[in-house]
Parts: sequence; structure tokens; C-alpha cells
Amino acid sequence: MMLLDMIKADNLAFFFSVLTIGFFVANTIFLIFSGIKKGIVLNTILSLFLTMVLLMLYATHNIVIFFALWEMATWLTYLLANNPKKSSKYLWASLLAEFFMLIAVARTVAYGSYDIAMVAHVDPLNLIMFCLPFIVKSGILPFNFWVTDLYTGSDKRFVAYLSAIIGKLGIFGILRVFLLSPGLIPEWFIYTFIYLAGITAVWATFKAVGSEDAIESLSFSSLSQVAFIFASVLLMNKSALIGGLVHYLNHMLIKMGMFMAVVYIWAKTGTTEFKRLGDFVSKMPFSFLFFLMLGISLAGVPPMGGVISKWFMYEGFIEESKLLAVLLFFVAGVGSFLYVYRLLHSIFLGRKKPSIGLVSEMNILAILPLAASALISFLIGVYSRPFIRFAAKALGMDFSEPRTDIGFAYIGIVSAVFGALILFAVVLWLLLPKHRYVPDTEGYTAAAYLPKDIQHWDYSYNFYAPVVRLGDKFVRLFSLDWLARFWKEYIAAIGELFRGIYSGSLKLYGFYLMSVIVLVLFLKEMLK
Amino acid sequence: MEKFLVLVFVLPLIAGFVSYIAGLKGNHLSKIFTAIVLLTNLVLSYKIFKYVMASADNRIIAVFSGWMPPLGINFYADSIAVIFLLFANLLAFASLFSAKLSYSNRFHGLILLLTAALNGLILSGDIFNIFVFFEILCLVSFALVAYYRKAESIEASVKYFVLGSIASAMLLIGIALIYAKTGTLNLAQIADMAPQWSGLFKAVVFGLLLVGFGVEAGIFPMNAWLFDAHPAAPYPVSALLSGIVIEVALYLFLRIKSLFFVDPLFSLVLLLLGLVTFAVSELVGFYQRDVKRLLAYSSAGQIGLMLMAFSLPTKIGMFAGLLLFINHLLAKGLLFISVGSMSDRSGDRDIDRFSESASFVDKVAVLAGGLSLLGVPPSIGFMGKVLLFIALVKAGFLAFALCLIPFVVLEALYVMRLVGRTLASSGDGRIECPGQVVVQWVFTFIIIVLPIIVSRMSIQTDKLNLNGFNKQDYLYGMASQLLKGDRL
Repeated sequence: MMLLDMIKADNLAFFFSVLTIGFFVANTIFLIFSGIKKGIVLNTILSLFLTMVLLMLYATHNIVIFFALWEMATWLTYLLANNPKKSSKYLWASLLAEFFMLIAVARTVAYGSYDIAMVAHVDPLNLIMFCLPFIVKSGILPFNFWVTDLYTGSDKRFVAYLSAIIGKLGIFGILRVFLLSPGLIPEWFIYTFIYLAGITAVWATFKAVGSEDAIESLSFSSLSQVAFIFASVLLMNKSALIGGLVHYLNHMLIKMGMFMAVVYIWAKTGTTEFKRLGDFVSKMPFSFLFFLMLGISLAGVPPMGGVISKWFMYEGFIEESKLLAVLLFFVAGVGSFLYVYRLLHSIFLGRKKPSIGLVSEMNILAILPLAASALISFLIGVYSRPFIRFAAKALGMDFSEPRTDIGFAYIGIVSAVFGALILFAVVLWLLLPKHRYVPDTEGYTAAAYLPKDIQHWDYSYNFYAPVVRLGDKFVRLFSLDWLARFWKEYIAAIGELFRGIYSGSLKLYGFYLMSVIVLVLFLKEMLK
Repeated sequence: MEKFLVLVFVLPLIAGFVSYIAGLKGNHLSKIFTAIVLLTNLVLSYKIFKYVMASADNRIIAVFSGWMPPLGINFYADSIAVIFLLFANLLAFASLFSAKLSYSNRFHGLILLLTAALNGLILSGDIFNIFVFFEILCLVSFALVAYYRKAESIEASVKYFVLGSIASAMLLIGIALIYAKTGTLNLAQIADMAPQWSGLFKAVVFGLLLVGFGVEAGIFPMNAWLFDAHPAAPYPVSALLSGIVIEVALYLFLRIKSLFFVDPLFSLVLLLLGLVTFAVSELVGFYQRDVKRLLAYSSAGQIGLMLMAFSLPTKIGMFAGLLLFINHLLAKGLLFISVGSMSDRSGDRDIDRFSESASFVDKVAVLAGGLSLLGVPPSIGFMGKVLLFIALVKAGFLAFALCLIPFVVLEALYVMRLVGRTLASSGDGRIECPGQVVVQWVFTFIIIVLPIIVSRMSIQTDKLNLNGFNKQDYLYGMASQLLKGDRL
């Protein structure tokens, strides 16, 4: 009973629980029926355990239990990633932050409370220490050095979970604390991290655009989108908050579906490198359709759901006059068009590659979650009201009086226009001459040597070279791997110093012995 | 019940010699005899544990031959002592049970003598007997470390012997000074006179006892022997040395400290030493490639944490210390048995190669032991870690808590490296000794079940409010007792 008392399931917990359960069910159905057999049992058991931990985390208000569950989620993520070498940066970054959280927990307990609502009451430092794991988990600069390794090195069966749920856990944490501590959050903290989130979004977008791997590109895309939601939530503006939560839902659906398609391709071909994929639309037409719908949603193009949530988030930033943040997120938004197009083109369109012989369309049960995610995202786009109300309810807000009706009526018109344009494009496609397949050697002239390595002659490699060059300096500046290297070298130097003490040399131990004897004799003299 | 108290010491002491003689006819006979004695001891210590916990004043005293203190020898067990007694005998039995059959009668005899010394140390109510048992413990440990009679083990044993002898000398000088000042060796009587000692005298005696016990307990900078001895010893001995021997030395010192040196300054000194021990051990442990050496550094680190927890003059600190002790005993015992036997089978202690012949149970055991050692929730190590941080902050040592952070992370990284290498092993090794498999499964089971028992106790009491524990909480009761410096 006491345990139940500590768990106060509220609307926020309900919102996150519904989404997490929904994701887990869909992901499990996909994994079971997609034909990926190896390692599925252990992955499903650990994922189930992780889901249960998250459900309890959403529900609890007791800081000690919150901390325990948060740490369990970190460890389960580490185990599910199934790559100790690649996830070690994630582990130490998370643990480092979590020990600061533990100190905040200890200070709150010493303050006389176990309630999460009291964290901010102790002092602002306590709040910051408590929120540090949320920032790390969201991959906000300068705590993003673990992201590349974890996302690219993770077990492919887990990467959807990582992107759709775990990567956004920090957003829940921020909401849980901030909504319970109105007026206690230092403004400098909010604004600093809003702009850092903006820079993170741009940085991750450039990384996604320049990526040569579908999973890596989608992962950086997730980081960019999470940064956008994170900033919206920090702003604590009504429109931004609702937009953030709707985008949370929308992004979860997008990444769930897109990762499912890519993971299926990985399972069949053994690769997710762009240069080894292409023209899969001919073998996987339905997957392509749903992938396309979700890609449109990710880019924020009507009539899919992405436009609704992004609209509200932008509205919130404009209301709070955070125009620089708007600019940063707008740049990231434009970049999302680029990587979405790259994903669509390099995987499903473009040149036919040998890997195409290995794939076929998913079976109906495996494609079901993909279809469902695309359709729900479409529903958010064309009939957003129930979703917005669901988000508002989770936040404890009344949305019967929206600040503007732009989110409903105007978006409907835009959607109609876009729908008509898409229809027009389909008509054109039907009427105009079709493409034809040509052999790779058609452009071959003058007995030129044709290199075997695909990257030297296929345009799918280094697709956005000019854009990558444009953002190169920016990406390098904010790639904080040097921070991790510095930390490792610094520790190595101190470790080396102390290792001398345990050198195993009897001479050194003799020296210790003599020192102790001298000390004792000295003390003996003093006693006299 | 008083007889049992004497028996847990006397039985393995005599049996040690008998086992050696029985072993002259064959190792099997010696091992069976040793196992029976250690199992009997385990049952006896459980009986004592139950009795003390159920009794009104949570303690039991045995006076030898009717001679009352200060003239006679007495054994004294409070609720903390019986916990140590129970776990010491559990680990002794488990270590022997998991040992290879090829270990000779010399090994079995020494294990029994070590158990006798441990039990004597835990129960002694007399500071001179503590010294005597301490000497037995050291001598037996030296012999066990040198068991293989290879260059590595002999060198490790010599180092241990040199440092151990210094420790014994310091301890003897300290005890002599106390005796010269008070005219008694009984702990309780000394405790009554201790408040009248001058500051300088207290400081000198404290320093001498600290060095004396600190060497055996593995407190920095007196722990240089530990990192050679643990890898060189047979794996059941490493498990015992790491799991209980160093902890008992720490327990004894803290028991004496809580009786004689109640000045907060002494607590602060120990707190600092604990922090430095933890920090240095984790720093150096991070770069170890020898898996047994790596575990030895981790043990020294955990001793640092326990020292910090027990040094805090609060109930939460004591509670944290007890949880850390139990967690370390179980986890490190399991890890040393698993990792040690794996490296024995593969003939290599390098972190990249030691697990080539890992079996399924080895993998499960290393995962359970590693996660528990690191304090991954919901292990009791996690509870200990959380309570330690709460205790530090509540006692006003926020800076100490902050200083711990990077080193806790370092430990997590290198222990997970060990766990990761074990799990990644594709080997399908066979364990030579069936008893080891049983021990690994039983310890894994205890590690999984214990948090449920402890957390049930905690959750029943006012929403994890640590100030609200009630009498049913044994550990809390024990912590209070230690805090009060309960005496004869």
C-alpha cells in the first residue's frame, strides 16, 4: 500500500504511459513478424522490463524511487544497446549526470521531503543538478558527445526504442519537474538551454544531412527533433508546451515507422549504407508509401502531422519573442527536407544495387505497425483537435479556448492545397513518359577504368557534398569528442601518478616502512 | 547458546589440524571433513544470529571458565557482530565448496584456521585477544597467499608479511600504551576510561591502531600488499580475503573507534581516508588488465566507501555501511570465484583473454555480481550507495559527496568492461568443481532476492523515510547499536 501511495498516476504519466505501451506493442509485433530471429527473445524481455521501468518512472513522485528507476532505465539501455565499447561514453556521461541527480535527491531528503515537487524549493543549484540527466539524455550540447557512438553502435533491434522513447526521456523529466515548480525555475537556465538546444538542432541536422548511413541519418534527425521539443518544453509557454507534446507523439510515430523500414532492410541485406541501397520501391512499394508519408511528416509538410506540432512550437517561440531560437529551428527544419529526401532517394529510389535481390515486401503483420504510424500521423495532420486536447490534458491545461484558431482552420486549408498538389503530381506521373532503366556502363567512354569501389562513381555517395562543406566547420566546432578524449587522458595522467604507489617494488615498500618508523619515533619523542 | 559462541571459534581451530592430518590419507577426506565443519559452523552462527535478533537486548556474552573480566576472556556478540559472523561463515563455506578438488590438505587446514581467526576477531570482547586472533589471521593469510609456491605468490606473500608485521607491531604498541594507561584489556572497561585520556595520547593511540588495522583492512596508503596478494592467491582465498578478511579488520577498527575515539575529528580523518582510498583505488583500478588485480582495486575502493559510511556519526551512515558491506561480501565473493576459476581454466588473467572458457553460469554470476557491486538498482548496493549520499549530505559533507562522483563512474566503467568481456565470450567452458556451480547459483539468487527483503523492510516504514524505521528493522537496530557504542 505504501508503494502504491508513492505512485500518483496523473495525466502526464498517463500520456507518456499510453505512448510507451503503444510503441512497445507495435515494435514487438514488428520484430516478431518481420523475420528477424536472432536475439529477439532477449531483446523483447529486456524491452518489456525497460517498458515496465518507464511506466513506474512516469507515475512516481517520490524522488528516491524516481532516481532508482531513472538509473535502471540507463542500465537497461546500456544492456539493450549490446555494444559495450560503443556505449561506454553513454554510460559514463549518464552516470556522471545521475550522481549529480543523486546529490540533488540527497539534498531534497535532507530538506525534509521525498516529493519531486520540492526539488526546486531547495535552491536553484539543486534543481540544475536534478535536471542534468535530462539534459544529457536529450543529447543537448555540450552533453552530446555520446550520441554518435551509441546510435550508430547500438543493436539495430533496439535503435527504434532508443530514438522514439529513450532519447526523449529527458523531455518527460523536464516536464515532471517544471510543471510542479512554477515560478521557481531560473530564467537564465531556461534561456541558456533553449539556445543550446537550438544549436544542437542545427548541428544534428548537418550531421544527418552529411551521413552516409540510413540509421545514422535517422538518429541525428531524432537528436535534432528532440532538441526542438526540449526547447519548447523549457519555454513553458502554452502553445509551445502543447506543440512539444504533440510533436513528441508525432516524432515517436515517425521514428517508429521509419526505423522499422530501415531495420527490416538491414535484416535482409545486412547493410544500411546508402551506397549499397537503392530502388527498393520496386520490391517494397507499401513500405515506401508509408515511409514517404512519415518522411513528409518529419519534414513538417502538410497534410501530415509534423506541420501541426511544429506550427504550435514556432507560435510559442514567437509569442515569447525568441526570434533567434526560431531562426535556429527554422534552419534545422529546412535541413530536415534535405535528409528526408536523401533517405527516400537513396533507399527507395535511385540506382538499382545488388542488395535489391535480397529484399521483398514485409508481410502484412510486420507492415501493420508501419502503416498504423503513418495513418495516425496523417490523422494528426488532418484532424488534430483530439490529439491537441490529449496533450493539453496531459499538461493540465484547458484547450477549449485556443489562443488562435490557426492550428485548426488554416492548417486545414494548407492541407487541402497540398493534397490537391499531390493529386496533380500523381496525374502528371500517370500521363507523362516513364523512366527507363539503363546499364551502369551506358555513360562509359574512351576505355576509362571503372573503379570497383562504388563510392568513386555512384552519385548516392557524398550526396550533399556542398551542404556538408558548408556546415563542416560548424559541425567540427560542436562535435565535443575532444571533451571525452580530454577526460580520458586527464584521468590516465592522474592514474599513472598513483600507480607508482602500487608499483610492486619492495624498495618502495621499504621506503614506506622507514617513513612510518620515523613518524612513530617522532611521535614517541613528542609523548615524552 | 553461550557454548555455541565458543564453539564457532574452537571447532574450526581444532578441526584445522585434524583436517591436515586427515588429508594425509587423501584430499577428498580432508575436503569432506572441512566442509562438514564449516557447514556446522554456518548452522551455529545462524543459530546465534537468530538468538541475538530475538533476544530483548540483542546481545549474548560468553565468559570462559567462569573468570569474569578484566581477568577472564570473554566473547561478546551484538546484532552487528552476528551479521558479520553469519556472513563470514557463509563465505568460508562457499569458498571451500567452490574450491577445486586438487587443493591439498594444507589448503583445507588453513581455511579452517582462517575461519577460526575470523570468528575469534568478530566475537572477542578483549583487545589483547583481538591482537592474538589478528596475528593468527595474518599468519594464515600469508600462508594461503603463498599456497601455489610460485615466484609470484611467494613475492606477494612476502610483501603481505612485511606490511602485516609492521601492522602487528603497531597494533601491539597501541595496545601496550592503552594497557599502560588503563590497566585493563577489556574493551568495555577501556571505553569507560577513554574520555579521560589526553588529546595527544588519543591521537597517538588512534594513529597506531589505524595503521595496525588499516594495513589488513586495505586503507590507503597501507594497502599496497592487497593488489599483489589477491591475484596471487587461489581464487577461493581471494574471495575470502576480499569478501570478509579486509571487512572484518575494518569492522574491528571501527568498533574500537566508536568505543574509544568519539571525537568528531577522528571521524573526519577516517572520512578523508575513506575518500582518498576510494579515489586512488578506482583511479588505478581503471587501468588494470589483470582481472584479479582489477577486482582487488575494486575491493579497496569499496573499503573506502564503507569507511566513509561507518565514519559518519548518523544512523543512515551506519545503515549504508552495513548494506555496502553485505553487498560487497556477496558480489565480490561471487566475482572472485567466477573470474578466478575462469582465469584458472584459461590460464590467463588478461582482461581480453581470461573468459575464453566461460560457462553460462559464469556469465550469469559475473553479470549479477558486477551489477550488484556497482549498485545498479534495485540491488542492495544501490540502497547502500543512495543512503551513503543522503548520509553525507545530511551530515553536511556535500563536498565529499561531490568528490565521490567521478570515481564511482570510473568503477562502473572498468567493472562493466570485465562484465562485457565475460558476456561476449563465445566459449562453452566446463567447470571442474560441481560445488562451484551451486555456489554461483546460490549467491546469484541471494543477490537477486536480498533487495526484495531489505526494501520490503524499508517500504513498510513510512515511505522510505529513513528517520522512521521501526524496531522490526534489524539492520537499523544494529546501526543504532553500533552508533551508541554498545558495550559489555
